[in-house]
Parts: sequence; C-alpha cells; structure tokens
Amino acid sequence: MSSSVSSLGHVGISVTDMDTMLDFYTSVLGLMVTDGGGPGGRVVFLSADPQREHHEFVLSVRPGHHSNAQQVSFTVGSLDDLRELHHAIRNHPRCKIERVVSHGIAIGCYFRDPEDNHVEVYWPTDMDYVQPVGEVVDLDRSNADILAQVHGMPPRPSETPHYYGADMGKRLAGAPVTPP
Amino acid sequence: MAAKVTGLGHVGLYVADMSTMLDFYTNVLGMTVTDRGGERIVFLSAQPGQEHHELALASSTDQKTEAGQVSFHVETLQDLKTVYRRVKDYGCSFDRVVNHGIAFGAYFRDPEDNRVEVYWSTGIDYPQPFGQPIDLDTASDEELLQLLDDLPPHEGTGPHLYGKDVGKRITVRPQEAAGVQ
Repeated sequence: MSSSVSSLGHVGISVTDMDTMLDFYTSVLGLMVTDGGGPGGRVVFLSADPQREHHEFVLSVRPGHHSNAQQVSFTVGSLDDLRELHHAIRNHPRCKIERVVSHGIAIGCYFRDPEDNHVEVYWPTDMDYVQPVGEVVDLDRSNADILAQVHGMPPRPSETPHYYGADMGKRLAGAPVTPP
Repeated sequence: MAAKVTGLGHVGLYVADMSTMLDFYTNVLGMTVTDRGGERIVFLSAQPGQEHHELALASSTDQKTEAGQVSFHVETLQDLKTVYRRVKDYGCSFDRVVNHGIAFGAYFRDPEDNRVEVYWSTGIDYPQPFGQPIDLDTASDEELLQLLDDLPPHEGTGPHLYGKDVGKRITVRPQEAAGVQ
C-alpha cells in the first residue's frame, strides 16, 4: 500500500480520580508527565521516552466513564525490571494482578490498574512465536529457569506469515505462510 | 526510581464485527496481520519487523471499548493527506482535523465508533493541549507548515523535553515548570 500508518503513537483513556491514576502511572510505572500536569489538569500527557515521543499515554478526566480497552500494554527493558514492576503492582492496594504468562515473544504481567483498566507490562524476548498463546510463568523463579521455560515452548502452526523476532520461523510447525 | 516502563507497546480493542474492522485496519490504514487465533483475536502491526503487534482486535459480544483515543503515526505530511483521504473515502466521520503544534492530527471514528487519530509529528515543541483547525483537503503543504511558524508562545506546564526547538514557544521556562510538578 502506498501510504500507511507507520506505528502506534499513543492511547488515551478516561479517568475518574486523576490524582490516584497519575500517581500510579508516574510513581509505580515510571511514566513522565510531559504536559497538562499543572494544578487541576483535566488532560495529562505522559511518556516513557519524552525525548522521542511527546506523549504515549493520555489521561482525561471523565468521571464515571470507563474506556474498557481490551488491553493497554507497555514494554519494559529487562526481565529483572518486569519482576520489580510485578512486585510493585502486586503491592499496590488498588491494583490486582490477573496473570503472568509467557507468550514466547514476550513475558507479560496483566493487571487491573486503580480504575480497573486492563493493563499489561511486558518484556519482549525477541523470540518468534505463534500467537495467541499464554503459558503461566512464576516471576519468583530465577531468570535462567524462566528463560528455559520460554525457550522450551514447542513449535506451533501459524495462520499468518511471520515477520518478527531474531529467530524468525524457528518455532513454526508446518510450512510457513508466505506474505501476500 | 529503578524499574519503569520503556514505551507503549500495543493496545487492544474489543470488536463486534471482526471482518469489517480487519478490513478497515489493513486496507484503509495499511496495517499487517502478524498472527491470529481464528476470528477470536487478530494481531496487527504497522512495523511487523520491529513490533510483533501494536494493535490487537479481540472479538466480544458483550464488551465494548470506548478509548479516548488510539493514535497512529504517519511518516510524512503527504502520507497524512493520503491516509486522511482514504479514511474519508471509506466513509468514516471526522471529529476534528487540527494543528497541535507538535503534530497535525486527523481524528475520526473507525467502523465501530472508536475515536482514532492519524497524525504526522512536526518535530517541533509546543505546549499541550492545543488544537487549531486545519483543512487537509485544500491547504497546500506550504500553507500548513506556515501555521507552525506563526504559532504564538504559549504557557507550558510540562518539563518540555521533546522537539527540535525545545522551549522556543513556551512562556514559562521548562525548569520552572518541572519544579511545579
């Protein structure tokens, strides 16, 4: 196609209690307020990488409205960071961990934020693996054990061509689907 | 702070009519299907070599997503005009088409009424929120770019780390604003 969108840039959700939500996304997940964060701000812009993206996440006050995204998912830089964030989220009185799984391509920690939004923090493994799949992971085990579990996931057949991962196609069962 | 998130990776939307939504996100916005679990869940990426998925469409009969916005980059002003035209020809309604200073954005409703934006980042710094209506149908590239040069300085509330001319159009110095935070 001639012109297409080039990447996902940002996502916005409604919030009821801006102070609580802002505290969670800045103090626990570590996003930075890049605009709108003055006293009484009703639209606040946040970014994990403020030099590269002005905002990746927008919180807008709309009391009682729930955006109900199926998921809003943020990357982390290492398995150790994922474990540390998992502990911080687990200890947060207003959050609830739902599941921690290996997708092969990533290890994801799914939880509900303080206003019940479905959120994921995930560490991409850079391994190619056919989705959807989720195998329960215990982040209290060692990195070596967790990586052995991820790398031991068996080949799966794919319905689509594959483009992603350092070992693209290695864990595909059957003939690969060719791009259109 | 030690561990923190490093970026937005993907977003998932509940969808009622998978074939219509998939047609829109692949044929109109130009995303690539990278994996799927039949009609139950489909993964899409605009840059499939770098991100396995940036958008997940999940079939649901009882759940509805009402995100404030789901916003996708385009690489050039010309791409913005082309994608804007394709979305318009498809029949989507536009909520607004604006100059944010940091970006030109076209906000529209996808086939299931999600509020979606396609935007071209101008590369300049400008305090948000800000929106000045623009006309992508008739304005030339030169006229649109002139709007950026004509933007007046505006009070900033954030630290302002973004853009090639950081702080140029801010009436409160970035350090002061960062202190307020």
